[in-house]
Amino acid sequence: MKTSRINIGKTLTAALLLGMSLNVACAPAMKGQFSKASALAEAHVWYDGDRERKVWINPQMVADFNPDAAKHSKLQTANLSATPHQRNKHNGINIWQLDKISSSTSGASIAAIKSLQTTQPAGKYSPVFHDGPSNSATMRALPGNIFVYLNPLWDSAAVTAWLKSHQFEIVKKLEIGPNIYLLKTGPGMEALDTANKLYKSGEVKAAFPDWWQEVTAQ
Amino acid sequence: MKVTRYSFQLVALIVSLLLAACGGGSGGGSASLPPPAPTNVTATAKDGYVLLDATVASDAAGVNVYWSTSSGVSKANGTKIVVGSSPQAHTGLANSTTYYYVVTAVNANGESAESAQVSATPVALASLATDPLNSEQWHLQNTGQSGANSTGTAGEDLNVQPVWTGVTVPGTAIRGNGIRIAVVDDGLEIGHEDLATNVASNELSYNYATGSNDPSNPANDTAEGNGHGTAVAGIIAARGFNGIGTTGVAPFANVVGYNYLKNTSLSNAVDAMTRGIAAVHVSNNSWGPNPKGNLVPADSVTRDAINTGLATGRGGKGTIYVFAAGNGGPTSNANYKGTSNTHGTIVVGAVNDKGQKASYSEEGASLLVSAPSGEYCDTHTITTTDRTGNTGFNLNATATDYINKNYTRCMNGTSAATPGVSGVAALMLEARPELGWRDVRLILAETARQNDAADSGWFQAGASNQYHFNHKYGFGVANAAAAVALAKTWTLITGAEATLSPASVAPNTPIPDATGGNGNPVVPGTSITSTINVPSGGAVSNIEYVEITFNAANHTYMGDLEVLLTSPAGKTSRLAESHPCQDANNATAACVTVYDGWVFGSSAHLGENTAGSWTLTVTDKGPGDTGNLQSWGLKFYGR
Repeated sequence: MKTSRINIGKTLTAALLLGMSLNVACAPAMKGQFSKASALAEAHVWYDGDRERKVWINPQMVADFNPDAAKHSKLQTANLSATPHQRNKHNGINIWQLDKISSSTSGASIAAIKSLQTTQPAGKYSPVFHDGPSNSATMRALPGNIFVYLNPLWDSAAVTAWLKSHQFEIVKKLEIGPNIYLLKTGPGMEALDTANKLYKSGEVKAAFPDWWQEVTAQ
Repeated sequence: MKVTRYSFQLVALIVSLLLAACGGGSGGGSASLPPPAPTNVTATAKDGYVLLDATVASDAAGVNVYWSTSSGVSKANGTKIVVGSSPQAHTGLANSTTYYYVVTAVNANGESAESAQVSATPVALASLATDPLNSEQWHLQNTGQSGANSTGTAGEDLNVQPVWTGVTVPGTAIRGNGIRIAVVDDGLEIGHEDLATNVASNELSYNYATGSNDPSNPANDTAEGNGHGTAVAGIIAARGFNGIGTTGVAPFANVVGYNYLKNTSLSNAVDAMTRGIAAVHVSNNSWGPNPKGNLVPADSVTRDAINTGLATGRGGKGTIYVFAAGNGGPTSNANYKGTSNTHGTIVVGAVNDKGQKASYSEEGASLLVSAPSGEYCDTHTITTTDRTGNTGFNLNATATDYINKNYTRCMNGTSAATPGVSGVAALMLEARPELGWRDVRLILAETARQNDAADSGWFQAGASNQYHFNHKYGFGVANAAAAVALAKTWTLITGAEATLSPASVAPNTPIPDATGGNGNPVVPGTSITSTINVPSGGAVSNIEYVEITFNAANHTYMGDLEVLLTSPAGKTSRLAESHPCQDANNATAACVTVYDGWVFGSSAHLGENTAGSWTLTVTDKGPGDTGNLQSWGLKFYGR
């Protein structure tokens, strides 16, 4: 991509990452330490194949998978005041910064998003997560749907029976291995919780959400 | 005898002298004898001149070149050119005439015997490439033309001209015919005047935002960097020789667009890596995360998709995946993210118009090759297609770019280097369709041009020092003519790729902390080492790639650690360097990821044998954080 000149000199004046509010004043931080204001406290586990990985929820951001200016007003009317976040990179998503939120905890933002999904069922909203305990780490979000790796030895009847028993709907059968499917779920925590529950059940070889992930042109 | 290296450059008759490191080249002579004859002499045809390379011993004080337009040139019958210790200019070679050369080395004791004869036939680029902006496309032919604020170095280019003109493959113009490249990016303007002819049938492209087969950016797409995919596509396959705009590296290849960057879900990534798997030859991926010094792994399903392409793409010969190294240099290393250290992919770094590393280009042991891209638009960057009219990179308001807003001179980044290599791969595959993905990797490595010869980071690689490697460049700048030439005579690798995973070790050794800081000099901690002994006779004896799984999860600041892997042959991969991390605003910030079973990748041990002791060296270079080398392991790929 057209990289512009960015001063990435190695100055030692570190700006703290603001986890709670981007308007909080910055203070110098020592290497290896970052203030509570920049740290994200709540980690969620997911299973990338058989590997446990963590993501940290950002309580002040919402991902909206129906990029539409009109939805902004709907966010606002849902008792959330949202403005476009600076990392709104148009990778098929709008990232909103929440200016007003009743609590600093992620539980409140998750509840708020669930409420939003209820009141705006046409929308697809998700919490925003990061691959590290800081909002400087790369972002992820949950547009809905999960990957499932079923027993590779199952025949089609066994696969069909299993899907029916769990009332899963196939979005797509993937041709990257035997019995690998993209199954339909709702967005947000439903996708993560469903995948984790499946993986822990032992019924599947792997289960993980169809993450949206933050990438950029180079 | 230690052999030194220095290079020469002549305008019409250009001789570069490469002096091999220990064990290579012509070795050395004694104090009372003339030097030995030069070896590894090559002649590369250019427009009106010939580039000569040779290896001479360090006791050579100069070089003589003898040339003739008749075969059988010798010291006795050739025209002599003396090349001293400084560049000399020779001009006026006739295109379409074959010139024959032998080279000798001289010192105070006399002149060596003649080298083997080589020959080359200069060809005129202008007579073939008639597109108006060709003279600006220094990445195709660097004649030393100037950008806004930088003058290039002649010869620092992809060397494609001989391939196009029937020189590399005598009598056959190789231009990418029949080769399809997927441009996985933010879009592709399929109706662009200089791309449309090369766009594969519409139904083969895909738009992840709309579900249609037209990946063109919508008219109202004003996102930053929109038009990136159109620019990338032009570098690969802008239609050539049509009197319009620019010329791609593979000017007659076909492109399809998958605008994955418009909807970056995992399912779309999987689809983009495998869509059209039977027919797509090359997958160009000028994208990736921006880890700012942290670690971003490739998710397992993306790796599964790439492995599927390697195993079944092109009817089993494997899709050629080309990925950008990343623009986070010097803070980030290509080995810190899964898109640029995945086994089976070709990772590409960027060089400027002088053949030196672009300041932003990420180094790494996982690099394979580099390609021209340039620094920034205010110096000298890549000319390519741009979205038509007042959109894309070149807008009506952009006074520093072309008046014709359908093109831009400002494309850069490892994004622009990557399609250069995709184009070279396309030329290779037209010349030799049977090449497997492993063949393509090996040929690119073997034929890469050793740029920036004075850089101290070069080392001889391979069991018999048959390669050169530099963490800034991989094996060097991709050389289209050399790669296509070797592709024609290459002995194909047969048999499936083998792997060898010796038992990992779990030393759980504390890593001594660095000391100092807070105004005092920082003193690195004492390095610790750990060894894995690999017995001979394993499934892999000839290495093509190495993965290193590294676990130091309890170290509280990954950026402190330098991690090196040294092979039994004494070659060292620099897997990680001590570095700061950055926040979203590029300010120094805490590193927020840890080495929790992180998988590094290395191309640097290509051609080595697995047998022997492999040593991991870990050094803490930042005070105040501690942890252990908990465990590590190796996985070799090869034959």
